[in-house]
Amino acid sequence: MKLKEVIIATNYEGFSAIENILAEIGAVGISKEDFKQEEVIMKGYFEEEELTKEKVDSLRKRIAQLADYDLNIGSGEIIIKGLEQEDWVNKWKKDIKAIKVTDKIVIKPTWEEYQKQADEIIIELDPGLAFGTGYHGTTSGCLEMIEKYLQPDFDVLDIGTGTGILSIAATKLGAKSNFALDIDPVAVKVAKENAKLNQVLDQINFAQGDLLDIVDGKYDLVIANILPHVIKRLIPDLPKVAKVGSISILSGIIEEKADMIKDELKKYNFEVKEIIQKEQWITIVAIRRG
Amino acid sequence: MAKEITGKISLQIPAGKANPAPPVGPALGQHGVNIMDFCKAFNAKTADQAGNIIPVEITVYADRSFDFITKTPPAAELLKKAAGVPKGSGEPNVNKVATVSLDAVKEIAELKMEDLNAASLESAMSMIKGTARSMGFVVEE
Repeated sequence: MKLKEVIIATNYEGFSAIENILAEIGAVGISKEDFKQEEVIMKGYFEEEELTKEKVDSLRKRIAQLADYDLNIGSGEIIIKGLEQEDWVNKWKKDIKAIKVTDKIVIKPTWEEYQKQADEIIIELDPGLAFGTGYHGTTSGCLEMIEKYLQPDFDVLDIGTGTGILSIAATKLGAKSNFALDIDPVAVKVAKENAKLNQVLDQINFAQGDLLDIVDGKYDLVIANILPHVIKRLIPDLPKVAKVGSISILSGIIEEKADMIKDELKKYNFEVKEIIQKEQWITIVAIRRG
Repeated sequence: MAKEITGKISLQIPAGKANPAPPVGPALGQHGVNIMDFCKAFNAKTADQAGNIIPVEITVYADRSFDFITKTPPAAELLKKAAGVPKGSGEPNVNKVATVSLDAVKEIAELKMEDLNAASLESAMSMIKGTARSMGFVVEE
């Protein structure tokens, strides 16, 4: 079965009417994509033989008429193209490649063959329902700093673990213990699956919790790749879980917010040891002073 | 994790029946979303609503991860329900097929305000009125 894809550029005001027109002329599927401010892309999928010239004419006419109903639909440009019936899943897989994120750490999708080099650490992980796939500057910034600062006798706390990637990396780099938390139960489930895939599930304790609510004990390395306002909320409580002399790796900080976090760290007697930036994202390494 | 959003994709999918065929495959694949992971999660979440069409909004993050929420039906569907007709007019300028009350328009505008990205109820109502008229519905003022 061959398909046609009808692509219409519009905005928030126009999409409801266009969605209805696409449905009424027989689209087998409709998608609305909202990737840029103010612009909405509507796509209707049709079986090729169903999308007759009459239907296309009617579509064009009805879209042109929308202004008559006091709808400002933006550009209203229409593009129609053929769409081969493809194996969409395999096509997606082809776009995902193994990436070397640090000197040692390589993240590879489960389906890809990869020839491991002597000193490399491989993390198997497919992008999915949790954040932290290695493709973002906050994740790679944290991985780089974990690789640099982690010592083999470290007890590690990972706040907002997402896919579990940072704890998996810390474990593979030799951490003594790992406690990984996320407020989102879906993330906890995904993280456990990823840890199992990487044969480190028995070495990481995963739990659902909000920041430090369920944390008891002191750690040598605290990792938090979350959002600036959440990190700000976390810092006053950090001394409760961070040993004196311990290292904290804080990320998810957009550059404009870096000073706010640095000020907060100073207030609670943390010394900023290192700062790295990847695109507009900052990762801060801080040491807890007495 | 520091979720940076790159965009959103909205689709309507029969409960429990998401599969990689269009629109799911091409719409998600083009933006790097794990198609099978989405289908499995969507089907698990909606299995108990079999028979319904579920509008779903997928948020795509900068590192190719995603999540999704199920949403209220499209404005045009709500308008047809309010007007009691199965479909809109093919020639909305000459052939009026139904009437909707201003109260119904207001109710739909309130429900859809967030999806319409509208700054005020008035502007959401004006969008809904325009959509209604584009379907050959007369809005009772």
